[in-house]
Amino acid sequence: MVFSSILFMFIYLPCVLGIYYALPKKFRNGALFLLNLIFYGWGEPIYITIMLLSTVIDYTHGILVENNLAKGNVKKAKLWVSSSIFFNLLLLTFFKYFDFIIGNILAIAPNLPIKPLGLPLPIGISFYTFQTMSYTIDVFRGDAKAQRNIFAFGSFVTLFPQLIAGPIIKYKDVDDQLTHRKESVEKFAKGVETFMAGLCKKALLANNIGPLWDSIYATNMADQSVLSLWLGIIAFVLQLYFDFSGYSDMAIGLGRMLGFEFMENFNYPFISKSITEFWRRWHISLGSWFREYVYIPLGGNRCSKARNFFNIFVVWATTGIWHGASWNFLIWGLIFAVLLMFEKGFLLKKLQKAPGFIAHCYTLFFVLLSFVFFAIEGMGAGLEYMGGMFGLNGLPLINADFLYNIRNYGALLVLLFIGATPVVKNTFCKIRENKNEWLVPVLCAIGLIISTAYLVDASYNPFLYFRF
Amino acid sequence: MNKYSKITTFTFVGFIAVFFLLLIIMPKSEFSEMENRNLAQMPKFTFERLFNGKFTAEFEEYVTDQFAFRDTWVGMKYFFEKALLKTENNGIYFGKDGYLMTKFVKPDDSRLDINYGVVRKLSDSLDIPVRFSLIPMASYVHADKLPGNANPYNQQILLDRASQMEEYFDLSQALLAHKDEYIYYRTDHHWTSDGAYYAYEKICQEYGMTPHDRVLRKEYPEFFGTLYSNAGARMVEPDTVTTFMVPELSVKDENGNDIPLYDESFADKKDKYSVFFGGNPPLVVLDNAEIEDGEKLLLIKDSYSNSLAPYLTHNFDEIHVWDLRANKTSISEYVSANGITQVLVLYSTENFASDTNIMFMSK
Repeated sequence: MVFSSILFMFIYLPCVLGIYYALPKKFRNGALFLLNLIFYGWGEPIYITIMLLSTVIDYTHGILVENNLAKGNVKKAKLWVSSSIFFNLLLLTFFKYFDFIIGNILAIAPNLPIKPLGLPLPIGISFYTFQTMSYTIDVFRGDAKAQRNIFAFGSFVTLFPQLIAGPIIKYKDVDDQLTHRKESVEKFAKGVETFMAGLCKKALLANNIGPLWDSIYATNMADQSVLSLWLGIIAFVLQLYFDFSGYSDMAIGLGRMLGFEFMENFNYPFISKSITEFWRRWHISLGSWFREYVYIPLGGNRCSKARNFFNIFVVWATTGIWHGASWNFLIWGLIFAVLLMFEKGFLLKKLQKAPGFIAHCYTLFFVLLSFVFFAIEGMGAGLEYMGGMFGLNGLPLINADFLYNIRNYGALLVLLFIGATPVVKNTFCKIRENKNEWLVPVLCAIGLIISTAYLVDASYNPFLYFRF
Repeated sequence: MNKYSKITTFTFVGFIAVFFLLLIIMPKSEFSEMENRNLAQMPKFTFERLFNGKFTAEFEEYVTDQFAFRDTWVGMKYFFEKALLKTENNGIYFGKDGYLMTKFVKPDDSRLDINYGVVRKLSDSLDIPVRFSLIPMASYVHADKLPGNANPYNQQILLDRASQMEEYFDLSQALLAHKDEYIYYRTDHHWTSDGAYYAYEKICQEYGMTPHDRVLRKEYPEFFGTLYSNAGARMVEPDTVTTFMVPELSVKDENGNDIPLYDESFADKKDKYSVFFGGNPPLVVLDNAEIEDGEKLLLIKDSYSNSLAPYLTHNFDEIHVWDLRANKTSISEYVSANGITQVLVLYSTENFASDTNIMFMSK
């Protein structure tokens, strides 16, 4: 189930809110656990079993780690943490990377008697395996207490708002909230605001710019122009940003409606003045997860420069491949590794002295270029696309398609550019400060109406000839 | 407590709760005229269907299909797109002079190979003449009405490829010669009866026949066609479907039952183009009572020919109107069993480039 659907908005969500608030506090975690499983199992009911298995295994591991620590048996506790990490990575590797690995082995040795399994990827597996790993590690480090209530723990593992696309929540951040969260009307209303911002980002902006990238991507290279290719990747990056950050906002908003407080996941990445800053503003929860559980344990930057660069390399290779089981994502991650090494080496100091405009252009230029490899599977196609962006394939600078797309999508693009900066949020805050707070529910209603129109239209499916 | 927090909460929860309740209490619609299809109904629940994912998928369809005021929401989205200065919605161009036009996408090459090839195959397998032509879509004839710089797939490529075939004769020039007239509907993907008439004149010329003048029979105004539906358009000028007088005819379906040539039951429905034959029956046999021992034409066609066939009845003894989408029986057997003397394969460019049923022609 996805948030930006009629089913979620008008069936699932009213049911969840109704049941949740009708029950006394002590039953809410149990109810949430069941409701989460329905949400998760909607598309692939069979994968509920993985979810339950994951819950039970991490639940017992957490307790085993804590009990051994209490007995002073650090070695054994370490063993159980390793076992938990092993189990989570095994789950992730099996479902997400097995076919990729097999495919590559077969490419080298085609005669081996192995073949890809073709299993559908359980939704959200990249997110929840990371969350549950953080749990046992936090317990081992003493940053969190093991959760003894299996329903409270289960509702953490399966929590529907952030289950399928993050933000990736560290257990220690929600530890207390699981058992002692406070729901209130203020919090709920704030949740509605955040959710609506996310819904509008996803249903109105991301979904509408998506077709521009799709149409440019589907065009033969021979019929492209240089500007079309730039427009295409701009459309892709904007779609990805509004889709992903919109989804995170919806998750945070839904969390608040249920009394949770999650971390922000995006902070206007396109206003960054360096790649280093970009990654502090883009998918923050993933970056902070890798920093805390991979980069710093490897030694971070408190070591030799060579070791530091190696650590950056490892973090970005894994970040890349985390985004998808194919080579282009690895390349995408490594491009960032190289850029970040340059910035750490000398570039960052120069950028800080350079005029802001130059730093912005530098950042956007490399962000757009690197995302070509995110957007396009297959190195050859990615390189060809990038070459075209610099006119290497003898493409014209401009063509009719480009002019048409600018005409058709122009107004939307302007909205997207504005939406990618803090302007909207700042204006909204001003409205609030100036005692125009009545505008908040009005804007919320308008957003709901427009989004609903787009959601209904997405399922609109007229036939030329009557179908039975 | 801040009162606006309460109002915001109430607005949001109220909105989703109202539509949740409406879904439960509103009577369910069976059929959508706008979408020309049956709407999903509450799926059957069994544990087996639940675990294989069928129930959940169908339930989601049911919820979206039965969402309250569905068509109104779709119309609202159209206006929002207009407000965003878009030049298309749901793959339909907003052309000039109130014309909505299909965005012709690049066809699949292997489909083209199959469909062109099968016309040749049919022609080789029969020992009577097989003729073939393509009807361009409005965006070809009315290219000047497309939004600025719009660059749909060039239908000339399809016409040029067809013109390599000895069976082919051209209709596009006959239509282009009248491009300033009302020869395509503004809100529907079909040609108007005028467009069909110019094609009729050209076809008569090809068969060495004399086209008949036409006498208006009846007009069906307020026609909002498929492009109107597809674009989710609102507040556009409607079209008028016109029908013309025919000679004394018997009109029979595939079972030999009499059916109306002009089905008046569609006069008050949205889909007024279905006045012709009441849609697309698998087979319609039109027998001109005034002509004996004349040419017997097998017309293999899509829905464009539904408004053309009535004109042809003036000139042919019999016309067997064959729709491959609903009729996949053997054409060669039918030709010999019914004494067919001429075959005409006539498709719109878009259907010819995409229809997967055309390959059954040579069966």
